[in-house]
Amino acid sequence: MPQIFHHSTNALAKITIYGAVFIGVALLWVAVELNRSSWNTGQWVEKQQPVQFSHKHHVGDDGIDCRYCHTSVETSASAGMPSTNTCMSCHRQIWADSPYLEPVRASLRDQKPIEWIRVHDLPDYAYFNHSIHVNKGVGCSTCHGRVDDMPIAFQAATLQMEWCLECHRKPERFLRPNDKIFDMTWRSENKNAAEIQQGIGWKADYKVQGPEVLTSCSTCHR
Amino acid sequence: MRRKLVMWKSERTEGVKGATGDAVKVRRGDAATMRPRVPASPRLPVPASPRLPVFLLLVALLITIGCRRDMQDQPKMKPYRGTTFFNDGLSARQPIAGTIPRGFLRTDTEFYTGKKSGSSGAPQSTAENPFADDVDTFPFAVTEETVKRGRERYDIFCVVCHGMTGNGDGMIVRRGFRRAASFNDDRLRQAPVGHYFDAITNGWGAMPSYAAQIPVQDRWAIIAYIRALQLSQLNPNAQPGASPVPGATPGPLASPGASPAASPSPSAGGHD
Ligand code: HEC
Ligand code: HEC
Ligand code: HEC
Ligand code: HEC
Ligand code: HEC
Ligand code: HEC
Repeated sequence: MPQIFHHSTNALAKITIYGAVFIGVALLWVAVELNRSSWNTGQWVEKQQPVQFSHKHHVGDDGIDCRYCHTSVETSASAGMPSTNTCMSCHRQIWADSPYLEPVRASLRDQKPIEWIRVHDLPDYAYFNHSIHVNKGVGCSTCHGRVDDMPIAFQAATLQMEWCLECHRKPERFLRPNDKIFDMTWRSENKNAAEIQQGIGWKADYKVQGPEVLTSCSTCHR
Repeated sequence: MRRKLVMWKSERTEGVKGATGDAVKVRRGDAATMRPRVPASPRLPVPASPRLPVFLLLVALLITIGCRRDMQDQPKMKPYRGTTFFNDGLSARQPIAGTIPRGFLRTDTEFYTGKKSGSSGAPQSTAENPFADDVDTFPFAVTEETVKRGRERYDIFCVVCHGMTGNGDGMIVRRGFRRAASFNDDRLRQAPVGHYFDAITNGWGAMPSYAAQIPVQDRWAIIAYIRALQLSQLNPNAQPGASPVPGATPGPLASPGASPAASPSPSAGGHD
């Protein structure tokens, strides 16, 4: 019986076997990248909201402090969302007839809260708390990006566990002075050696706990 | 092949017997008696081959893949999450009308309303003194901390309309809001602190109420800062020697060692 494959195909077979390793690695890499991609994490995705609310207008142009609307961010786990009355404190008078604000006026008329679409949404098995971060030197822009530049709010970080841990292992890379927490222009990361040195100082000032506590599973999965 | 299978079976039953026997013993014994009961002989039960259980476990794990969404979105109440359980769809419940949560009893009228206490002898507002029923001293000792806190809160909630100097020309006013009152005109300099508290708590004319956003203690802190602001905006050359803020009694505002004795506990300063 004649050989079906020529002798030289042996080499081809060998190459394919080695190649399979590379294909395997490549597939793994694709899987990891897909897992971190915005398609999976929702990063960068702008969500359409019931009202075309723009942080760029309100924070960037008008200079309203985050806490005017997100009142509980320093004291509780949730940052807090503005009530309809908070919007109306200004919009009763300015832009009072704007068609863009009709859902807000309807909400006041019908006494029904505006239903915003969540942009950031951790899974329920992970525990997050704003107050501890804001009180220990982590600024809004470190996690949420330049909100004052966002016409539509989007998620600036992946919010994956590796992202939380990257900071919890070495918080000095991200800390800032206590009075700059809400300052959108302050650097979001301490990059060079001098800045990290400052970060270590703040870490001591705020008595930030060590990585054994901050990376312990039960800190975030409780 | 066949023989092997049978052996595996018999091994398994033996192992299971031993295991359950031990387990029962251990469970019955308390901490003190547990140790001696563990058989000291080397004839410990041989563990069963793990193949079948492991296989079953893997199959079970495959099934749980479908459960992922349930862990992501658990049927529990989190802030701002709606519910179908209550008719109004809100998971955050309000206290039943007429009830007072523990720690929210507001007996200190001056602190919580800015009005003079004592129902019978309370003076009424008149044309010449519109603020007669407002308290004219702070209901607690003002310290440097209070003023600092007040400055921070003023910059969050008031600056947008009343401006950095309190002249009433904030950003929102420049965008078309009714001109906010200037804290630096004589009428408001003379006004007692209780009037400011009233304006923040209940609103004043075109100004909305800030009771929902600013806790009581912070409202007083803001007022303390406004008093400091008024002092700083006074032109000393225009009124030399004049008592700057009558009735304000900022008290130990400038003296460093002031005792915050009368300041109420922070837990009392809840939202209105
Ligand atoms: C005038 C009120 C107002 C101010 C001031 C304001 N926000 Fe918001 N914020 C909102 C409203 C309303 C939403 C919901 C609509 C949306 O997502 O765009 C929101 C949404 C957000 C979200 C997304 C929340 C989610 O759904 O996950 C973030 C993050 C945020 N704000 C951060 C900030 C930061 C940081 C500042 C200060 C620089 C700030 N906001 C100032 C009103 C405000
Ligand atoms: C402190 C005052 C203030 C508050 C509070 C406020 N806004 Fe505004 N809003 C403004 C101003 C000023 C503008 C005009 C923005 C500009 O052009 O710079 C504006 C513009 C808008 C517009 C665009 C209107 C148009 O016709 O272009 C929308 C929509 C809006 N706001 C929604 C909201 C919502 C929703 C809230 C409540 C979460 C809110 N605002 C709270 C001051 C405020
Ligand atoms: C350490 C990172 C971090 C910092 C710092 C931070 N946030 Fe957040 N923020 C998050 C995460 C994570 C979520 C999603 C929480 C969830 O889904 O339960 C979130 C959610 C929010 C929301 C949606 C409502 C809520 O509480 O779920 C708002 C509004 C918000 N942040 C505003 C702010 C503001 C304003 C600041 C600055 C004072 C700030 N955040 C600082 C990480 C951060
Ligand atoms: C930019 C830095 C940073 C990021 C990002 C960050 N954290 Fe933190 N986190 C901190 C710091 C700093 C503390 C304060 C530690 C302390 O208590 O001393 C903290 C504390 C906490 C605590 C309280 C720990 C305790 O028990 O006292 C929790 C819970 C937590 N973080 C959860 C998260 C989660 C979940 C994420 C990701 C969604 C996250 N953090 C992202 C910096 C960060
Ligand atoms: C700093 C906070 C933090 C700590 C510490 C932490 N986790 Fe997480 N973990 C998270 C967050 C946030 C998520 C959700 C990530 C996402 O949405 O993709 C998560 C998700 C997970 C998941 C699900 C992953 C997935 O993609 O479904 C597992 C499993 C997990 N964590 C295990 C652990 C274990 C084990 C430890 C201890 C070694 C640990 N975590 C410590 C914050 C934390
Ligand atoms: C949305 C804009 C706005 C904000 C924010 C605001 N005010 Fe006003 N305020 C006004 C306007 C407008 C008036 C003038 C009201 C009138 O004459 O109808 C006023 C008047 C006042 C008055 C004078 C009352 C009188 O006797 O004339 C006081 C006191 C006052 N505000 C205090 C405050 C304090 C304290 C804050 C911060 C917590 C604050 N306001 C925030 C718009 C605002």
